[in-house]
Amino acid sequence: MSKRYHSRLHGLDVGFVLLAGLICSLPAQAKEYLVAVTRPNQVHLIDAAARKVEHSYTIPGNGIPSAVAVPDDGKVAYICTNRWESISGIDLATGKEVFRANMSSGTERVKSVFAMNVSRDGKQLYVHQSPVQLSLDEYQVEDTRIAVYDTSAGLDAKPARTFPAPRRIALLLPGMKSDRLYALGWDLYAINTSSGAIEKTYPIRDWKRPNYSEPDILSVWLQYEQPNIFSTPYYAVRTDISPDDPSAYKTGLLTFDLAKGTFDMEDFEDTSVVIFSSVVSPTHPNEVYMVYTQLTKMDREQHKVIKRIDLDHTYYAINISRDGKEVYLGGALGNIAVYDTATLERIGNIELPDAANQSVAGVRVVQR
Amino acid sequence: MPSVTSTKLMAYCCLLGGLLIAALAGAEEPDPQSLLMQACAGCHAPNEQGQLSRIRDIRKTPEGWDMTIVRMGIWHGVAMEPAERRVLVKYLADTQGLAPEETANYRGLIERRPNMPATNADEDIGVMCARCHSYGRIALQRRDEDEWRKLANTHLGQWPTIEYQALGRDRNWWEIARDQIPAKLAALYPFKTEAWTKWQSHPAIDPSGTWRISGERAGVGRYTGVLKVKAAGKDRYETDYALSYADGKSLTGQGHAILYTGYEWRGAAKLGDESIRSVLALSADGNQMQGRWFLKEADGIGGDLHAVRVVDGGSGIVAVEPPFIKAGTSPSITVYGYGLTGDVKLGEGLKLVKVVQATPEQVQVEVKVAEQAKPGPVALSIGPTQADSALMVYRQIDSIHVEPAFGIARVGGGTLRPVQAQLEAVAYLNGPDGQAGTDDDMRLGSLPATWTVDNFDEAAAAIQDAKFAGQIDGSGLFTPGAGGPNPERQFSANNVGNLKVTATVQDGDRSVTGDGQLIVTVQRWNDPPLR
Amino acid sequence: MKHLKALNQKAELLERAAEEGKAEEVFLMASVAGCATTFDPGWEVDAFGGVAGLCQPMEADLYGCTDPCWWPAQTGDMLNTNVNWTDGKNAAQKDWRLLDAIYPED
Repeated sequence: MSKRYHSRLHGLDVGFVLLAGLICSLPAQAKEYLVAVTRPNQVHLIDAAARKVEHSYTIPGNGIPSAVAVPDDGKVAYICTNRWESISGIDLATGKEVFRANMSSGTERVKSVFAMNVSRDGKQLYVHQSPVQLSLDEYQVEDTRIAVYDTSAGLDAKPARTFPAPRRIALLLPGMKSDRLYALGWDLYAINTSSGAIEKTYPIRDWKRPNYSEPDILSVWLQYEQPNIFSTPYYAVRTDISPDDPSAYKTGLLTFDLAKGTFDMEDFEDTSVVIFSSVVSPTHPNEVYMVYTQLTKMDREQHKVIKRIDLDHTYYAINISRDGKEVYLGGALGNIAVYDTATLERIGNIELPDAANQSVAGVRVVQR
Repeated sequence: MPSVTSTKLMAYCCLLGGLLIAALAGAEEPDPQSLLMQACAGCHAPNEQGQLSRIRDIRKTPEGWDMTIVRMGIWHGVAMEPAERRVLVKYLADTQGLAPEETANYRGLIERRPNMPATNADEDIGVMCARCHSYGRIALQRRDEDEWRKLANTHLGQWPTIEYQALGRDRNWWEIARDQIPAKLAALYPFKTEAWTKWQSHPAIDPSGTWRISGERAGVGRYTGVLKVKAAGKDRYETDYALSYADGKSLTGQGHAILYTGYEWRGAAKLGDESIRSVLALSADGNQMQGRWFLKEADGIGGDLHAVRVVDGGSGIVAVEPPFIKAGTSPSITVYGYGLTGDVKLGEGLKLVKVVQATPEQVQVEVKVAEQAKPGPVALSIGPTQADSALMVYRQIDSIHVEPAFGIARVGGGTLRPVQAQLEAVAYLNGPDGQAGTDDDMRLGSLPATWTVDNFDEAAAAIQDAKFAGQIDGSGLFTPGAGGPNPERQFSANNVGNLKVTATVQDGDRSVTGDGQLIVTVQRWNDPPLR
Repeated sequence: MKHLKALNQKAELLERAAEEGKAEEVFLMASVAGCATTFDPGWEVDAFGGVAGLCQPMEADLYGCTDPCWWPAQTGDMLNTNVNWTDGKNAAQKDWRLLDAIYPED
């Protein structure tokens, strides 16, 4: 274990203590819920312990729901819908639409490609926008930008401000305080939410490791909310090892601690299965769970896979309970599978109404 | 944003059936220029010459223009009667088509040959475009730099995740697409070319007349025959086929064809009890046609076609059956062609035993092939008519190649037919170096084989791909299993698989085997003529 | 885990090929013209010329591909192009049968 890694883990332990404090400060009656969305345009509030869909609401307008953002209070789910052109805020207690931003207007078609989120306090909504001008006989791609909305702006919300942003941002992560936003693209950018300035760049593309290719990341699922640590697998190739040699292909884990701003990327295995998303345990931050057609448990301290099991089908997205005892596997088809983190045994399954598919969407875990 | 309802879309799709080669229109056809104005000028503004924006800056194949019109229907609800569409495609392909030289390298794509290996003439364009399309789909278009750039804008504007996908996210995709690739495309595939300028003044070719044809339908065999072509309006023809397969089976059929761009033949016919389509290119002198025909319902199944025009007082050889003969044997061979008169002369190592039958269309002879005859092509002539590479001699079959070496089949079900894969066992000689698998290997031709299918590797074996993915018949035709999740498989996997296909061919007492890889994979819902 | 080591599967193949001096051949055995080579994880064929690394079953992935137009040249694009293609067919595992061909038959 490297010294660098050791000190980081030590830091995580401190984070855990802080987190434990946070849990204690929640209202006594707070209960854990999952928020999931399905085609054509539904949002579901699921009682995690009961494995039961408590409410299903229809999001107004045209589907299909993709990114889902929920602030810490778990009251309103902000959902990217209308073919990625609108953000709808649905009150999870009533199903009422309380916020709506239709981003396209006139001849400008504006889509948000996965990257949408809400501040932890629920006051600001951030959307990375990919606009195109639709002229009669040609399209003109415009520069990408981040739009910031006040969530109190109602059903015809216009951005409070917009600022230029790099292209191909796939995820936005809110800072613990609302002055910061992190955008995951070629690199991870720390952005000032007032000025739009990129205040810091954490290198991914620019991560210069001797004898390594640029790491490749396909990360479009959000699952940082329990540990306050964002994580995603990456793939890289050792350029000093023959491409014929399986050990040239490495899978690693990127972690970014939203509370402390620590960023890390470490290989953990020779690439042997596809992994789409990962989540760090809020209670045992050395443990990471990852999913695709297998469920993998990995130890960040030992840089190794502890256990891996086959699943019944491919799941894109994973999330974890606040107590770290179970993981929720969603996305893709119309169910959320529940697995015990200690044993990787399947301990539950939640069928979503009509088995409608979650498609690209992930599962969010909230306490309310 | 204009959009179409699914009902509209479906109605629209129905209108398009067999557009390129649809039956002859009985009624008077609309004037193409006014039709173009009426259908397109709402968005594509005319210049002073009346040429419409964007449209005037592009050249394409008939299929390319057809796909453009389909796209305008799906994207913007531009609806059109089949007759109108046919007229527009014809007009655009004639006035803004591609010269024969410009399509020569990509005939296989236009002919819808299955399982062509993906190759990129330019790697940068390949990475940009050919990760979704065949490279040929791009190389069969001509635009200037600005117009190529507009196409890049269209792509990212319409499919915003392009820059997020593998081979998109690892680079500044948009900057490359906008600033680098258009110039490169324009240099390789420019709007104005000498080839096109010259072709536009090329004298018109009339394919009317009689053609001797030959070819091979994979899995069925080699054939020869006669195609009679009769004019039926401008660039429109009626066709009459008579085919005989090497095994003696014969077929007749009638159909029609349209000639686009002065050389692009698109035919439809009923051949025996099958509906077929033909895609041929006429040679510049108008005396040969080359291409492929395929089943209307399954474009992966079909045959090559080579046609030689029967010219008064002329002669030609179109095929020799069998095209390869073994040293030390005394086979009977038949030469097919027209105007075949005069003495039969055979190259070194072959001796004429007797002429069994001789007509101007076919000459059957018995020959003796010397034990020591040199393997390789052997000359053959009948009177003044020569065929230098129609006949091969071999001592033994050195290797068997399964073709395609790497093939795709697709499960079907629901509204989609499964995509079968027709495999062939093709005999090769080692050539002068005596080594199999080198550049000097000589192709003899296909042979009947016994076929087996196995798991390609341990991973495939572990999930029993060979058990689930489908079956191969005695002719090398692989039929995939049914589509949909299969609850009997782990992960409820589909009946997909990674298979090793083995052909065993008897060569006298020896058996020679060859392997290929066949991927049985999932459906393709978007399946245009140029993929 | 022997059965779905998609990446290792190819790696093993490569390893064997390397021993036999045929690595290049195996690398070239990549794709068929017109099939997607956007291998994340791939539509028809995975990065390693097989199918074991694709989503299982395909239906688990179908709308995950069509909704963000990941393979618009092979499947539908629900963002802009074929927006009504899946209307009323929201469970791909059973509704895949109802999906029509997007390009009209020729």
